[in-house]
Amino acid sequence: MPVLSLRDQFPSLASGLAGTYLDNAAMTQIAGPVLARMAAFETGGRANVKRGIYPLATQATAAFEGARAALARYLGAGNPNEVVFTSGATAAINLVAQGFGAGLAAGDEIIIGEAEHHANIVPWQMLRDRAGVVLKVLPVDDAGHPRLDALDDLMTARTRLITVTHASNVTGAVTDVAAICDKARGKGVRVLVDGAQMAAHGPVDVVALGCDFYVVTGHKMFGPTGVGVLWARAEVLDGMTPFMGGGEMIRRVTFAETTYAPPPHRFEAGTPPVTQAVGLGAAADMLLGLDWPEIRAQEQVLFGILMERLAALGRVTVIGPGGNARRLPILSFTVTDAHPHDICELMGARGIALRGGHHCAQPLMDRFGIEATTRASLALYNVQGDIDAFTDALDETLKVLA
Amino acid sequence: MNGADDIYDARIKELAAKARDLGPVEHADCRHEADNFLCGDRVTVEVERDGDRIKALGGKVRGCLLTQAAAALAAQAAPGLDVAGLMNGIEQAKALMADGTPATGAWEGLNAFTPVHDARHRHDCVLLPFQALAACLDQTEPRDG
Repeated sequence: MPVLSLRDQFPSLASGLAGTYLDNAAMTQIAGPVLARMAAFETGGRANVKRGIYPLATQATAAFEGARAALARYLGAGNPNEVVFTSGATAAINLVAQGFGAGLAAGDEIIIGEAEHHANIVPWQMLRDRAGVVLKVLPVDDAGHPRLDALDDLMTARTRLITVTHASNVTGAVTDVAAICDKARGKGVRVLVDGAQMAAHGPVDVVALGCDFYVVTGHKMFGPTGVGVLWARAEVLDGMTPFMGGGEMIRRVTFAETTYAPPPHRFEAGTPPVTQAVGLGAAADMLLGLDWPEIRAQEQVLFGILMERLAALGRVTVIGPGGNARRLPILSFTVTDAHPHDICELMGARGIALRGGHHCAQPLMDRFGIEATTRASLALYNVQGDIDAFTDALDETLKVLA
Repeated sequence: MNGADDIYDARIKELAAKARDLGPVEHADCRHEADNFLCGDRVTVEVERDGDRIKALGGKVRGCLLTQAAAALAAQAAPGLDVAGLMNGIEQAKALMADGTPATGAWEGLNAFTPVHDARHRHDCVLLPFQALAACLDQTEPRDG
């Protein structure tokens, strides 16, 4: 499907209300088919899931489990029961920190990538503080890619987990996850991958990557907010204790003890975000139907133009990989004598949606010796006109700030 | 000219440029660092007093143009004021952001920030140096008990 036609699938873009939307790394726009599926569920299929035995509840459960299967397909997983619905990627990582973390002992080690979002740092620090595990940092190189050569020195017999982002929300640098998993395999080291950014740029293959945990979130993959997914290998999920108790996560409860349901339900206490899950399933179905080679080619062309335009300004420093290889179309930059918030304020007033700040990745900012960047992030619906509007607005903005 | 451009008028840019001249106060009686949790910007304020009078106000600013300008304005207005006068400036800055109340007296310069009143998401940028200042003064004030 050509990109311009694809753009029509997104109501906020088709109407023009979203303006020139280049804040996709924070939240993508929601797709029309996703809205339609959620509206259909709410208006003609709403019932609680997993236990009801009347027809509407049976249909609702089928819709919910259908969404689980769609997410499994999108993530390349053969078994839908390896997909746990959560409230987002952050909740998914916290689930692992609690559930997998419960099996760790003081002195066990976790290696965290230097480029991580705070959501993939803080839960591990909380685990460190309550369980005495040791956290180590996998450094990045000057382009923002994790330094795999450092991994051999960091891994010891006590290493239990390596947790890395698949693609940085600051630099767009893509991690060689398969290489990390190769190093971890056979050593009792699990690998968690934060796929929040990557999932908006095409289907993922968790089996080919070789990881043990993969997390995504709905609002960054053209779906609703308040829903996300933890994918984990069945044997890993089987060995994890539940994070929260109540609702359908039980097999049997007495006052003496409770036995738990098998995964994934063991990790879905209470009523799950049913409508949002159904919407996320629709997003996965839609994304699976797209021509990704064409979309990636388009993203790269636009990103190349964006890089050229910025370089032509002369006052700009790009943070992250210089070229188009091993990266997503997420562009962070600093401008001499202009603060990202001032740039974003003035760009926003000109209809350009950007993000400025530390992007919840302060350790990475420290690594690059900066406090904040301005970020333009592209998605499958961006077009040349967006880049032109960005350039014109940036010219005006820098004049105002001069 | 765009609506948001009003925030960045000549007075603000002039003030912000003066933030570069801020530096440590040699005999500071108090020092406080304040962070803007939204963006990681940081202001360090140092105050030297001579009895109840403010002798010097300095520090360091790592922030946007609004934060820089607010810090520079505070450093410009504070010397010679007593502590109550400085506290009054902090209150006037808060009132200007909260409901647009114009600043008066020694703090009239705050009115350069009037357009920011409409940009609620930027209030913290203006107030960060004043928050640091309030915390700094609190360190030097006598405490109950």
